[in-house]
Parts: sequence; C-alpha cells; structure tokens
Amino acid sequence: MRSLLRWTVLGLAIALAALVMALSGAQAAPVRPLPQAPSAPVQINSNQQCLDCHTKPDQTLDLPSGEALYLTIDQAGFDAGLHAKAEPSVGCMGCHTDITGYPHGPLAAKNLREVAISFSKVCATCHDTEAAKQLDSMHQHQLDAGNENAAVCSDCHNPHYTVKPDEPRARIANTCARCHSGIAQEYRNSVHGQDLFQGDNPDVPVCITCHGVHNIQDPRTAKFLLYSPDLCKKCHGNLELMRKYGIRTEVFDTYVADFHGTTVTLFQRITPDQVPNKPLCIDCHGVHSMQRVNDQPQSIRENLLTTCQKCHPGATPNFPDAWLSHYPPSPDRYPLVYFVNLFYQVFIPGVLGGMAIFVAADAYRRITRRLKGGRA
Amino acid sequence: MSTMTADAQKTYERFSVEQRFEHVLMLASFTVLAVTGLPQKFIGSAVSVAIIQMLGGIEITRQIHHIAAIVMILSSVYHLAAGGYRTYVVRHRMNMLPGLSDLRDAINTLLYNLGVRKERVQFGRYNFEEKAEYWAFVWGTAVMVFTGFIMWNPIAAATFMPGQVIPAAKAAHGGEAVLAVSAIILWHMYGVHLRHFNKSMFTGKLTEHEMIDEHPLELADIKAGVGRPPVDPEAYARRRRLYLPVAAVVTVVLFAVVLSFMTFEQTALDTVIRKEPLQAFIPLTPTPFPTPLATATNFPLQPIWNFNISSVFQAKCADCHSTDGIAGLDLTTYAGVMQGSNDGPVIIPGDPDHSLLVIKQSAKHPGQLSEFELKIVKDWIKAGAPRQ
Repeated sequence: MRSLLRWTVLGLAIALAALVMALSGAQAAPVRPLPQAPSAPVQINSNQQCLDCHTKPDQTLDLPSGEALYLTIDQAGFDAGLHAKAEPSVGCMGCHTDITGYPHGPLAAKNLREVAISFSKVCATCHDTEAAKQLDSMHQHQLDAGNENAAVCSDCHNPHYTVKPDEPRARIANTCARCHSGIAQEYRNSVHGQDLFQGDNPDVPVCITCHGVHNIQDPRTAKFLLYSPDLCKKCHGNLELMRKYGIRTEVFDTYVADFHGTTVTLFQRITPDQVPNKPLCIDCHGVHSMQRVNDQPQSIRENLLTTCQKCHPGATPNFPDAWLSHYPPSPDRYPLVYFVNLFYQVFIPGVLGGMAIFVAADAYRRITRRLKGGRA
Repeated sequence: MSTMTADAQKTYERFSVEQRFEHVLMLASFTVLAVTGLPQKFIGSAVSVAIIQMLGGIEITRQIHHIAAIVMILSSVYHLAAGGYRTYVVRHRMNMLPGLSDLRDAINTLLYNLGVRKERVQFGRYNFEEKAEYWAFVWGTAVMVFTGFIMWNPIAAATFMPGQVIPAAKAAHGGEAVLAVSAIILWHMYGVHLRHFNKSMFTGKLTEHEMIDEHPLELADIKAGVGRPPVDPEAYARRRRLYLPVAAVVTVVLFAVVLSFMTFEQTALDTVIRKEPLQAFIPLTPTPFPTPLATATNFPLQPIWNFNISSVFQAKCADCHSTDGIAGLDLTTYAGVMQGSNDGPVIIPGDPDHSLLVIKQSAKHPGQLSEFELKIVKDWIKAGAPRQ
C-alpha cells in the first residue's frame, strides 16, 4: 500500500510540473498578430455572410484594455469605397485573413492600437510601394521605438470606406489633424490653410506638400531644417505661380544673399549635420502659422522688430532696417546700400584700370628694350 | 669705372627689422583675411565652398577671419606709434607724404614708358608707386576696420546709426576686399615681384646698383650727407622721454578699444531663445460610435408564427440558423424552432423570460432583433407560441 501511495504522489508531482511548464511556455509564446481561426462550425465564403451580421448596428467587441472595438459596417459606405469598386474587388476576407468562419477565433490584439498596427502588414500585400516608402518614415521609426500612437495605414486610410485621400485637398489636412490637431489649427488659420479650407485653392501647400506622403521625415532633424528654405522656394521661386498672387519671387535669392541665408546655404553644402543656428524662412514667417505681411496684428515695422528680438534681444528700432525685407537695394529702397554697391562698381574698375595702364606701360618699355637687346 | 664696381657691392639699409616684422604681420593677416573673407562674398563658387570646407566650416572660417582682423588692427596701432616715434623723436623726414610732384612723376613716368619722354624720372626714397600703395592700404584698412566693426557688432552699430548702415557696411567690406586683393596682385606683385624681385622688405637692404636704378635722388642725398642728418643726442633723449609715455598711453587705450571691439556685443548665437519643442501629437477626440437606430418594420406583426414571426426569423436569424445551422438550430421552420438547439429547447411556450432565444437576444448575440420585434416574439411565446 505504501509503495502505491508513493507512486501516486510522484505521478501527481510530475503531472503538476508538466502543467506548470506548459502554462509558463504558453505565457512566453509570442503574440501572433493575426491568428488563424480554429476551424469553425460554419465556413464563411462571401462578403454577404459577413455583412449579415456586421451591418447590424452597435456591434462591438470588448478588448482586454477595456476599449470597445466597433464592428458595425455601413454597407452603403463600403460599397461606395474604392476597395469594393476595384477590379477585382477587395472583400472582407481579403484583409481579414484570420477569419474563416463563425464563431471567429480569439483576437490577439489587447487594445485598439494593436488592432490597427496588426493590420498594416495586410495592406502591404497589395500596396507594396507605399508600404516600402512608409518603412522609412518617422511614423514607422516612432512605432519601432515603441510609440504605439504613431500612425499606421488605417489611421489615415479607413479601409472600409476607402476614398481618394486627396479629394478634396482639405481632406489631407483633416486626416493629419486627427493626430496633429494643434498644428492643424495653426495651419487652418494661416494664409495657406485659409485658402485651402475656404476656396479649395489647388496652389496652396497642404501638409504633404512639405512633409511628403508615406515616407514622412522627422522635421526636427538638421537636414530637414537646413533644407526647409528650399521647400518654400519650390512655390515661392515659381514665377508663374507667384504672379497670380502678386508675390515677388526674389524672396529666396535675397535671403541667400543676406548673412543668415548665406550661412544656411554653406551649412547645406559643407556641414549638412549642423543644426541651423541662423533663422530660416519659418523662424520669421512661422512654421505652420504664416500670415500675409499686412495681416499682422502690429504694424509691419513693429512686427519686424519683435521678430528680430526673438534672436537679438538688444535690437533697437533702428535695427530692422539692417534687413532689406527681401528687396534688392534700389535708389528708392535702401539707397545707402544701392549707392555703396554702385560706388564700388565704378571705383574698382576705375582704380584697377588706372593701375593697369601704368603696369602695361612699364611692361611695354621693359619688353621693347629687351627685344632691342638693351638694358631694361 | 673700377670705383663704381666696388660701390655696386655696397648696400644701403632700406627697412629696419621692426618695419620688416610689421610687413610680415601685415602680409600674413592680409592673406588670411583674403582667404577667409573672399569665399564668404562669393559663396556661389565651388572654390569658395572648397576653401571653407578645408578650413572646417563657415563658423571656424569666420573665427579665423576675426583673429586675423585683430592681428591687422593691432599691427596698425603699432604702426601709428612707431611712425610717430620716427617722425617726432628721430626726426626722419615725412617722405611718405604725397605731393603734387608725385602726380607729375606719375605722368612723366607714363610718358617715358610710352617713349614720348626721353628722360627717365628720378625718384627719392619713396616713389609715386610706393606712396600710392601705402595710402591705398591706409584707406583700405580704415574702411575695413569701420565696416568690419559694424558687421561684428550690428546691434550696437544700429543704436547710433541707421540700420541700413549694416548691409551697406557689408557691401563696402566686400567691394573694398575685392579692390584690395586685386590691387595687391596687379600693383604690388608687378611692382616688387614681377618686373624685378625687390627683396629689401626681407633683407632690409638695397644694393648701390638698385639704389641708382630706383631711388637715385635718395642715394644722392645719402652721398651728400643730407639723407639722414645726425641727431642731437640731448634733444633726442628729451623728445624720447616725452613721447614714450604718451605713446604708451595712447597705445594702451587703442588696445582697449580693440578689445572692446571684439567683445562689444554678444552674438545671437548666445542670446537666441531656444524654442520649446512643438507638441506634435494632439489627437482629436475620437468620433463616438453611431447611435443604433431602431430598425423600421414595414409590415404588420402579430404574435402568430404565420403572421409574421416566421418572416422576422427568416430575415434576422436564417443566415446562421437554417438547416444544419450553428448550434444545430434551424429557425426557418416551425418544427425547427420547437425542436430547439444542441443546448436544448429555445422556446418555452408561455414563459418568454426563461426561453433561451430571448435570453440570447438580451445578451451580446451577433444577430439582434429590434426592440419591437423582440416584444412581438415575447408576446408570441407568452401566448404559447401558436402556429396559426
């Protein structure tokens, strides 16, 4: 009897150890982003089967995080979408590859962000070009660094109601505004944003004009900042475009001709990793909030002084005149600079020309003497 | 003739050691200023970029330019003091001062070189070419120091001058630089390097031969004993006692001015207020889920299977619960409904609250009856689930 008891205890101990190992092994197993559903009693073969349930209102799934995942699809919206209209059309199971029947298998995602992130790879199966570009984006880098708030495909492109993301163009700004609402508000009030939202103006830049699409770069890097004037130049150096608005295109060249712009240009060419320590276009005109010069709350002159004082706190009211306001000097505007330039345009050839006459005459005598065999 | 050959070996002091040292300082600082300055004026040129790159970037290039400027200004201060000493204490003639005779010499030299005038012009210690270069250098240095100060200390400059002076100073500084470097190459290099390499600025001496060729009037004065007349030692010592303290004070004051020149104002690099990093991620409040709307029922319902409980089940339940449906439940036929599911009966006639169908409906079931539909189904069960 005693040996039987011993064997029973030993057997129970081994079973318990096996159970503990199995449980700990299960905990350590990596979370699969899209688990394959266990074979379900009912196979699903068509969109209609999905929509029979998922068009019913107020369908939600409670996630472990306590958030609710909304599962109801507006069928009219889905049918009007680009996925439904594509040839061949993209149906539910085109993306929801983990679902093959009803009841569905458990969802690996613990919260709403994980759901969105887990589907990004699915988008890449068709949209490989965009997916490859996005791999080099700031959003992806943030995601890789563990920031789950970073945007993934579905944050900008709702896969169920797929529309052209840039029609109307204001849609682009509204899309970015979902996460960047502070910046978006500044942009909305800017001269660019006002024209976009009020007039659907195709000329004004929207977010992606400067920041790019999919491969959006970190705008705080030295490289992005250093080359930011060139972004402005794309439009503000375009004569045809600027003529429509009565804006001069010399703005870029006059910036580069000035001390600040000269330095930034040299940084670009020589030390592209240098964080610019001279003002860029955005430092005076605003990053997202640029206004017409005449639309400032203060007079242009006061405003200029305030702007200078951002970096030169000791600047006095005379100081802003040191900046030629993007104008090439002329007799009417900045006459002192104009006439100094004019003086040297005359003085330099005058002096050098005079010297050249003396030098040439001296050389002439020496050469002719030497040719005649005489002493120079 | 033999005496002349012997005399040709004789040399005459032209520049003292101090003067030659001054020249080296000027030569060095001028060259550094030109090499570090011109590329800043012509940044569009690849050569400029290469030079600035070689020097280690624009910030370092500007630092070097500033240091060279200080060297040149300090040696100019020294030059003033030393010139004063030679003029006042030693009583050298002020033979660098220009005069009308220099204009005449210039014209006659030109005419001689062109072959119009037969007689060569005879020069004294400093000829018109040397005077022109000296005074051009004085003018150039004055312009460069003044405009350089403005560019170095723009905020301070704008407190007592119009702001426009700053870009004007930049324009003048650049123009003057081009003029100075071009003049050195054309005038100085031709005059003392190319046509005849005059080494006196480094050796300090000219040979008799060179003196006859270039400064015959000075040589004649020296030979006549009137070039540099002897100084009365007593008067010399008295003037020296007076001059040195005055010169020392003036020099110290000027050095202090130069020091303040360098540190007059902080650059914006030190005073700029770093911006707070922009708060980029400010998500909008997510749109709330749409409020479910009651499903409109557009046919009259009665609590009888044939009118029209069967239609409700067909519309809402049949996708999953028809022949061989989920959980073995078939809600498309009266018999199926009454038979129930694998879990047992779903309808208990007369007791809607304990009927599994009603319980399931009240929980989260994928298919949902509308409130009205559920009420009719409950009424139907309460009435005993009649078929007709």
